[in-house]
Amino acid sequence: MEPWRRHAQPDALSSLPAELLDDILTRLDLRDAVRTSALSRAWRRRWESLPALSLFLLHHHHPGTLPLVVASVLRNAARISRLCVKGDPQSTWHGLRNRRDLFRLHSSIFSCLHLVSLELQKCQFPPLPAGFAGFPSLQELNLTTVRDEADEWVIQAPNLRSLTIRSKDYQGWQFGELPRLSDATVDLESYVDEHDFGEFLAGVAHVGKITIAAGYLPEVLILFTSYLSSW
Amino acid sequence: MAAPESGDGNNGAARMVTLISSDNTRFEVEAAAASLSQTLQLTILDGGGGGGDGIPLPNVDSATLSKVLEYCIKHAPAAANGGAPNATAVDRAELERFDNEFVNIDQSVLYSLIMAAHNLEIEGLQSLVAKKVADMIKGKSPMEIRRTLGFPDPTPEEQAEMNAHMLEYGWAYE
Repeated sequence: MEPWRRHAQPDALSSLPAELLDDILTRLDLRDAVRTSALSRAWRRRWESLPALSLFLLHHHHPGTLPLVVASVLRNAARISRLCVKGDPQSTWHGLRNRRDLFRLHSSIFSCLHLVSLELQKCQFPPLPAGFAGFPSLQELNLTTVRDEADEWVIQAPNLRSLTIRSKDYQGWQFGELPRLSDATVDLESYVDEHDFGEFLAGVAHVGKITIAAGYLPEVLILFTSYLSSW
Repeated sequence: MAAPESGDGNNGAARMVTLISSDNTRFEVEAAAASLSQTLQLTILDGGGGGGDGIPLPNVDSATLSKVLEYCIKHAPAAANGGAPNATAVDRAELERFDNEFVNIDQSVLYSLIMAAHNLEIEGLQSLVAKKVADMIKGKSPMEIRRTLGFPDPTPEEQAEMNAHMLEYGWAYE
């Protein structure tokens, strides 16, 4: 008998309660979670109902099929509470010729109304659907090198506690009501002049801890401080 | 010379509680260690488990309980310090070494442990085992996952289904 069969009790794992299987499988990258489909018929669709997903894209992934997969995952995942998608580290901001464009997130993300934590990196965010009222349960939002397909984007999340934005330039974000926000980090490499940075930052001016990094124009900060004093 | 914490009077003696496994084995353990279990903590705070009484744990057998308590005793000092913010790097490295060694055990034991940790609400232990099982799956081919977790080789019919699935989710199998 082969050594791996010594403890052959295939159903010992399968017989764990769903909560524990979720605890195990949500520690895996989506790729590994999908591979558990191979275990048995009962496991075939197990990964589709996980409450948390993380996906790290590598540069060799088919750019065409993956967005569809993520879309189908999100569509099945109305109850998903944590989502983390990190795009190909080699993808570039503007999708220059011979380079890869940022990973385009599917608009089915807007049906994930139970999201508590959303972390996106090197992704393109789809335009907000008309009348989208925000993610009601969202507590943690981290956007690192996320490009917005629309010009303006209002961040609305009544329960948001922690917000991190790291970006090359301003992506037209505006802040809606964020009454519970306690911690904000805004890190921009450059800022386009025509936007009022003071007004932008005023949207997070009420938080307990704010970290701003912007390696450019000091007058922007002067503008911001003057805005704060008038607040 | 006596160490200061083992000094005279009642203050120095750690309070002990007795836990009784499903197969009727009695384990005497410091209340602080048993209190890593959220479930037991309530009973212990109410004064239970002392003297001849003991707290029966009808869902945990003695082999599993002794393993659970080994974890609790090791982690109790750090837990008492509120997650040990002032623990030294050496202490933390020692706990990590213990944890790695601790889960280096048969799968059947891992599954009993995670069930016990879940029932007794010992968060750290549940995470530790869940992470171990996840690590056993990570980065493996479907066949390797099956073999690692002790699933029998697929029947031809199952193999055909697996192939179809791999074709559909090609990106996950690169």
